[in-house]
Amino acid sequence: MGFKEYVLRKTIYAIITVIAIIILNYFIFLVLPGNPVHLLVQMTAGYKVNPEQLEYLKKLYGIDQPPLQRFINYFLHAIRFDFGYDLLFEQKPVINVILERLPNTILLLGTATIITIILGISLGVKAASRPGTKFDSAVVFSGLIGYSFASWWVGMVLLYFLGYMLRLFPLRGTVSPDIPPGDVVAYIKDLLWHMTLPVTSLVIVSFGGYALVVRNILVDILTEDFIITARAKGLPERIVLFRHALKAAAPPIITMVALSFAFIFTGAILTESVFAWEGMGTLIWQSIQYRNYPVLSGVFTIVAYLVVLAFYIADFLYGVLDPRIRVGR
Amino acid sequence: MSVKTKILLMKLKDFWFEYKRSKSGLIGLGILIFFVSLALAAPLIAPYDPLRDTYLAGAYALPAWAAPPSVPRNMHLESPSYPKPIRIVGDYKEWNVKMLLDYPCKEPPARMIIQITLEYDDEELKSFTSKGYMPWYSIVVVKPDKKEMEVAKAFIETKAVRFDTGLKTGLVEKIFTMPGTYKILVKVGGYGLTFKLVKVTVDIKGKAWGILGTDWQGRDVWSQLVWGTRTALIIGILASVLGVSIGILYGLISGFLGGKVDEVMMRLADVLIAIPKLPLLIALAVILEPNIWLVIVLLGFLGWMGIAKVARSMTLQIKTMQYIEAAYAAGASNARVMIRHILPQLMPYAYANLALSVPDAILVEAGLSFLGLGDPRRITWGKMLHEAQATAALSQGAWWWVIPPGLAIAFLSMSFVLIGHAIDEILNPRLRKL
Repeated sequence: MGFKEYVLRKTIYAIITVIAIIILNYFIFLVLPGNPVHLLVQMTAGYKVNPEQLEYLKKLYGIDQPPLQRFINYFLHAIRFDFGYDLLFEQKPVINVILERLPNTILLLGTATIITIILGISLGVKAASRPGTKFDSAVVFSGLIGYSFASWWVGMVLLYFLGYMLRLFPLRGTVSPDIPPGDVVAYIKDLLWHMTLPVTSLVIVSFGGYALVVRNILVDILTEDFIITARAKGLPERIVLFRHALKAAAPPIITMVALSFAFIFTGAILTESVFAWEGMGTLIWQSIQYRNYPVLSGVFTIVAYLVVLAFYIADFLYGVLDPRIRVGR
Repeated sequence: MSVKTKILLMKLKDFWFEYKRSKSGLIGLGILIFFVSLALAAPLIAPYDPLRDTYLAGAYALPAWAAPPSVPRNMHLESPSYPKPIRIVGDYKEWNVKMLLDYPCKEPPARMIIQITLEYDDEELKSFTSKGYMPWYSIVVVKPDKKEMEVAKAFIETKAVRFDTGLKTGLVEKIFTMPGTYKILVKVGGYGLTFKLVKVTVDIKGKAWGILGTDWQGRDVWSQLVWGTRTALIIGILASVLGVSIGILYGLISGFLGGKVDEVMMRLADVLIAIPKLPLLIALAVILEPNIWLVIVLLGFLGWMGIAKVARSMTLQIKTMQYIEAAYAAGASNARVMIRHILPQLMPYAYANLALSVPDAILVEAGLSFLGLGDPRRITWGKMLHEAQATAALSQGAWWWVIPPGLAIAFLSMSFVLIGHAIDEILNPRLRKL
């Protein structure tokens, strides 16, 4: 099987998965009680709405059609990122609501994820190159912490000591309200100031897990014959580690990195809620509380797309990196 | 003892022999045993109801050991007990109960509650009230500097009169302004009504109390922590058992059947991986009435995919081994091969994952409770943190309410991670590295 065929097969898998996800999401929100028109009527006008308005609303949300037609409509719209209109925030298209919140979340979690990955991989590689040392045990220990601590709790504690007691950081929010509009430097400074604690609490609990996984994979690889050969050739340890070992360890690490990036999109519901950060996590939480299903369904579907994309990219890179995968099996 | 149990015992003995050598495994086991004994001994060591026993001390009372002696503690004072209840004939005559309270602190207490227990004839009272007369009580405090202060004067409407400074802000601070001996005088008057005074009790609610202080409603944080241990253990272990069982069976069946079925089953697992777990759980918890059994089932059903994938690839490899072929040659059925020959090979992986999946369940449940989606009738660590966050406990400086549950979550999770790693190392399923 050639590389083209491999990519083709993975593409077909990805498409099938996306279709299945859209179907599954449709049913999740079909099962959840209450439909948008009901909720809208309850929220805006009480229970008395004249029949014409009801008909209009039903038509607007496509509820008047038979189930199969509704599903097909949903499907056709979902693949074009059209999830209908949101029920709360001034009835904007769902995709616009999401796009408004997305930058904040990408900023917060993107930063945290990048720091986590860089820190995690470099510490993991370093630990694997000297197994059994104190440094190694420290990395393993921080990995265990990562599995055990809740980032939102770490956030609460940081907020207490650094924010409340020492007054070094703001207690909540994304930017201070008193920043003069147009002052870009002040704005960026303020944003970074607000970001520090949430990013720190996210990184503290996640870099160790990364480091541990990278370390465990590398420790195994470093005992293999080709590493011994590389060392026997007299290659410097740096090259052995980064060119030979890390390349062999790449596939599972790539999957991990890709998945981390895919799940950035959902935001960190709990951490965002502790810091009152106006991101996707808060949006999801609000949407759940107010049964704002169109927004939720949009978020779920987009996350699913991203996860599939992440797996797809990972598979593609596997194929590039490891010829055995595309030729064998 | 049958041969089978003997073999099992021997295996366990061997396992323990290996396990003993893992230092981190022993630490994990130690922490777990600590938490399990907390959970088992909960009724003995945490006598208060974590949710219903309010105002055991003042709100946000410090842990007793962390407070200097200058912080007021709980005090309890009872009027001299009357061997025979004294009959008071009101008739404009005033009657005093005089009590002496040695108050040692400069700082005022959180609140003072005075209870007056009376007996009177209901019919008699009715005939009086119908004429427009009402019996009354009055409480006067004489401060150490001899200044008198009437803190309460009101009509008597029940036989258990209760006066609480907590109902008026700033009152308790006005009463207790200095250390020294306070006189508390209680007067009851009743326009000729006959009273039996049973007793008067004075309760000072302190600002330092118990092992871990109190929360915003004066409830015992230690009891909450101890009872929360039970919930955390139940949820963590059961959700993990459910998730791992589903994962192993799913992977086993998928890998064993192979071909198209395998393809479809693995696609389905991929689809479920792609659904954001926490948002879905939150949505379901908001809509379905949350209780811990529901949370366990949801966690179990959303947490098996990774395990299934590994179990499948292990099954694929085991399937090609010669002893499987031999089993078939000996006439074994598919079901027998699956259950008797392949499943046991997956078990080491399952055991390690049983321990390793617990932390995830504990953390996710804590997160759900933190958002206020926990079982309302059960205390959990997440719920403690939820209430702490909702009442801005940290801005009251109530670290004893926030730090312990978070550390408990972390240490319990860590114990399972350590145990899981130790088991993993011993049973060392090389097959996993496919």
